[in-house]
Amino acid sequence: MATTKAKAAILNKLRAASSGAVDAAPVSAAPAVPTLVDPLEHFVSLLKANHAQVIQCETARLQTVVTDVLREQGATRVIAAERVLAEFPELTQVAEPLPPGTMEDWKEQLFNEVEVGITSAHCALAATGTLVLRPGADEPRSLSLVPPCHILLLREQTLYNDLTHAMVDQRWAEQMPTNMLLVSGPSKTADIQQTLAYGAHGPRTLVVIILPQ
Amino acid sequence: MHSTPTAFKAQAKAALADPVIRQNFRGAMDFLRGKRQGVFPEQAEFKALQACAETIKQQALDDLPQLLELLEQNCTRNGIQVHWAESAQEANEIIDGLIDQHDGTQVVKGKSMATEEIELNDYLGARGKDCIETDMGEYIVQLAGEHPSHIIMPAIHKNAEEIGQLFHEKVAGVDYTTDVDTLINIGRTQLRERFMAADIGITGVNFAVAETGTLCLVENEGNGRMVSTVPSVHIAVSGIEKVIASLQDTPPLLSLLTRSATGQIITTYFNMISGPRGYGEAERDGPKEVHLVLIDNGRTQAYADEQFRKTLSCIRCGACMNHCPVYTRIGGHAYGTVYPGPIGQIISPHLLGLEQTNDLPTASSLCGACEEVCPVNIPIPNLLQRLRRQSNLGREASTGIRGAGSARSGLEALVWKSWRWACCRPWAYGVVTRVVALARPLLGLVKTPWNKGRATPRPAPKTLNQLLKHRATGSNRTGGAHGNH
Ligand code: SF4
Repeated sequence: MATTKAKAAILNKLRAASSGAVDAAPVSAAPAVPTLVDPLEHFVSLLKANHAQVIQCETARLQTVVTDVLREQGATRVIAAERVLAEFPELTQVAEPLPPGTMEDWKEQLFNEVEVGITSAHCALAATGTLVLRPGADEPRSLSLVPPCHILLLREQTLYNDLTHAMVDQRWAEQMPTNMLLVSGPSKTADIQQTLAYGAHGPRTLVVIILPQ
Repeated sequence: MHSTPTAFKAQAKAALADPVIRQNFRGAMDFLRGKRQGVFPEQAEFKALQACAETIKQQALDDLPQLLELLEQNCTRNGIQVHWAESAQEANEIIDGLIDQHDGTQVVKGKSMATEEIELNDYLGARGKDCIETDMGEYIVQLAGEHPSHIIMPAIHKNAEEIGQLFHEKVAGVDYTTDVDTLINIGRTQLRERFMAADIGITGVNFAVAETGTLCLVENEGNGRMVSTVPSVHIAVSGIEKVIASLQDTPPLLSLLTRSATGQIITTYFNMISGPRGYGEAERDGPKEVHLVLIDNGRTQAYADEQFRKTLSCIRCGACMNHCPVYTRIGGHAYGTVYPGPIGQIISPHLLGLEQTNDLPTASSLCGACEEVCPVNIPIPNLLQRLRRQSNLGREASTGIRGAGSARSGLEALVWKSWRWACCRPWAYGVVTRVVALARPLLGLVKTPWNKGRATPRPAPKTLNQLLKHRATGSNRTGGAHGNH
């Protein structure tokens, strides 16, 4: 096998060189990200600056708020992750679950028909205005990516100061899921003459709905 | 219009004479520098973060063989298949083989400098396989039949008018426009079809975490996510130096990367991939297979040398080129290498050998701006000087660097040798300097590379030796006169 041979050759070269021990690098710990006085406010203002729409609402009003957003978007085909529908059954009034089967079965619908995807946020990071998504069996990866509008539901108490805090507190390193994703706004690009344009390949619109405890 | 590093001087000259290139780069560099400055308001914070990142990368390099094995172990446990390639050729063969194995016909690619480095598109193209670039900048560059001119913003050499014209000519049914939103939407529509139909997706890797077997991708557009989510096979291509020890190393590196590259405190997406679909639970989407191709391609050569090893700390942020007075003026294509600018000048000699690249280390004023902004503190000017020495080494000196001594010129060596000979013999030195002083009127007529853009320095009519002798006798006389008063 060529690749086993290559592996041996590469590792041998590296080992031969690294034995000529370089001085151990000085240890300098990562400077702590400053603790924010008002993390929620910081979080919201960064998200808004990044062109996301942010709505804070009581859980009881969730369905009304989502309905309003959908009306604004003129959306007719809306899909919510099963995880979301299980937690907020009232949303079955305005959103449907994915058709059965795997991506191969509903890929074309997702690309061509679905206008809005509703998913949950696993937690959030105040310092960078970031939502952490943790897709899984009941929330496909593509639902937060393919439809032009993405609605994210976030519980306020899951807001962390920054990425390091979240990964240490939740002990990510012990068991990473197949996919974990940080989202900090709608898809964008500045590839043409440094002019910012939204909706490059992912959602053009990102709506973050923050629910209290 | 394939530029090459061997034609660097001619390419640089042509670029300098092109006002559109000059203007496009000037504008883009000013923009990126301004953005970077805005997110590093305090130098002390930058320095602290830089020291931390330098340590992380330095330690990862010191432990590189162990970390690579750990990465393979953990990736394999997660269901990611790992392949190793010593050369670009081997890497291309592996990728081509994987595509064949799955009867792949439609390949989409996210932005990846590693695949530019191995010239994957050309390799697949020659075998009848289309590989579509999906990053907007890369898509533009591919449509134009060109190569990226910047590692972060590939189409930075083009302005909106040029891109509008390109789309009008190359994309069916598109009218000429310079409206950026319209142009991006054209790209979006074209590429969505491709994402949906693709069976193979290829991306690069920003960080490969050994501890968890995780591949991290940093991006704004979402094409990297598309490519690594929708097709049933995802192939990630990475240089061996991208491995880091632990997940906790990612936050400082990510922060430095996005701030240094585009002046963002974070990019829109940071994608952490630790396995194919349903590895652990019954997922309904995501690739059914994930492959990681680890590439050497000259990196072990840089690794073998304690000083050159630092080159491998690079996180490919592009800040060094944005701040380089040479890059800003000649642009990315003039270098003729995949990686342009300061980082290209120090990495390309290892990838391609010094025979082809020995002009590159000379294209620097050694002003030090690159080192100052480099988030991992790579001593670029020192490395450039070292490469200059390597390329002028005599045949007898043995060194591990491919192409060392290739810039050595017999004439130059002879001149230095004679100079040294004369300097050690005062009588000879005296004769030579006197002859030069006498030949003074003739020297202006000699054509040398020096006087192409500068006035010819003229030797003084009398040598220093003569002047001092003269002064010694003269000052004795005046000294005597003073004494008479
Ligand atoms: S050498 Fe430093 S500044 Fe240049 S791309 Fe690499 S990390 Fe960035």
